[in-house]
Amino acid sequence: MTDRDAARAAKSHVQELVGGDPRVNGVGLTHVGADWAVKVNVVDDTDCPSLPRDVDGVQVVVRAVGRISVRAS
Amino acid sequence: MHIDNARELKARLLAGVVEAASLEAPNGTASVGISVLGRDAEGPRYGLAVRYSGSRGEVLADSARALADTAAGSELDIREIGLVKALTAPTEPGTWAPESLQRKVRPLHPGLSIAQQDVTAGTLGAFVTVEGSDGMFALSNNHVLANSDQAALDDPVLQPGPHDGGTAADRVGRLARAVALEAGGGNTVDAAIALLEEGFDDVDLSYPAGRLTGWAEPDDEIAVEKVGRTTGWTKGRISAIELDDVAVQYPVGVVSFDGQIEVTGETGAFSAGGDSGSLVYRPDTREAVGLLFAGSERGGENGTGLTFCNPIGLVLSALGATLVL
Repeated sequence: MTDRDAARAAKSHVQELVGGDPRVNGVGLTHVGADWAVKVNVVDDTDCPSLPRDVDGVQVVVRAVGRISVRAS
Repeated sequence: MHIDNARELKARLLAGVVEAASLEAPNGTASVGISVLGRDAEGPRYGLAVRYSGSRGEVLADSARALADTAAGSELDIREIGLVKALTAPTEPGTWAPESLQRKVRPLHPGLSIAQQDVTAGTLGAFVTVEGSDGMFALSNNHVLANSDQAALDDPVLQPGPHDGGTAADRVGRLARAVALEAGGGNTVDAAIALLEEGFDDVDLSYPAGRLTGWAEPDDEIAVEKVGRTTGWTKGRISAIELDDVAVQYPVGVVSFDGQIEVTGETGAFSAGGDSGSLVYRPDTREAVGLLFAGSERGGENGTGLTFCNPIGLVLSALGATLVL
């Protein structure tokens, strides 16, 4: 089972891989079942950085979310 | 019993109800249905389900009880069901409906439309006090109460916001403090507070779940809810935490945030434009966890978009504020 500390360490490694890439708009922690995992939000999953399925034994989840904007009306 | 027998008995019972109804003005329910009791070698076994209430139902119940004393008694299920009402939606929107939250409302309460005079509309998230300052403050985002750092201290704050018809006559407070947004990144909160003016500081502290009990650090997978100006009362769950490098588009450009919370709506979008500033809280403990400020175009349930929040602990710390519970 992957715990939160392992996922945090893997997240740092993922940030080194995608740092500064404008196609990425968030790297954080999430769950896959009972395991902690790294979540990478990308603008468009047809044009995103290539990432391994897992880093240091921690699963990496990539999801397309589009652009993020403030929620004023 | 055989299906034909069930149909015949049902017709006999209902005939008695119709006869009684023609003699008086009865009320209540008299309903007979055919139920499947089980199955044997010859096929399904049928029975009668009798449901009744009121004077109209008593006629049916008397007939059914008489029938129950016969050989068919074991195949009858007779129940009194009380008043039957149509499950229509309420005609008046409730306190937490968007239509209500976009109106001028006094006393002020969480979820209402609010904004600095040059902003369209956002949401009043919570009420706070500030150490060393008197009075009650309304908590929302910088881009709602301080126009993304473009407003001046003491600028009027309106309820409802201008987009919802708010004018200078709807002034309830003035901008008191905002955490500056750094264009270079490294932001953790989009937050500001407005000092409520005399006469508006007698507020209602209730949320749909009741009054807050405090605040808590966010954790992944926990259930949360919020009440906001555009989508009203919505429910969701935290789907990611400690999100760094979240690039958010503002009217003034892109601003990057670290340490953010991501929320997925339970059945659809958790938020929409105008919900900025909503307080996100745990309904099970009534603890605040985040201040809603942004949303994505896609992702989440049914692709309706994800919602992003600042951890409330960081918000309160940056403003030197304490939640009013």
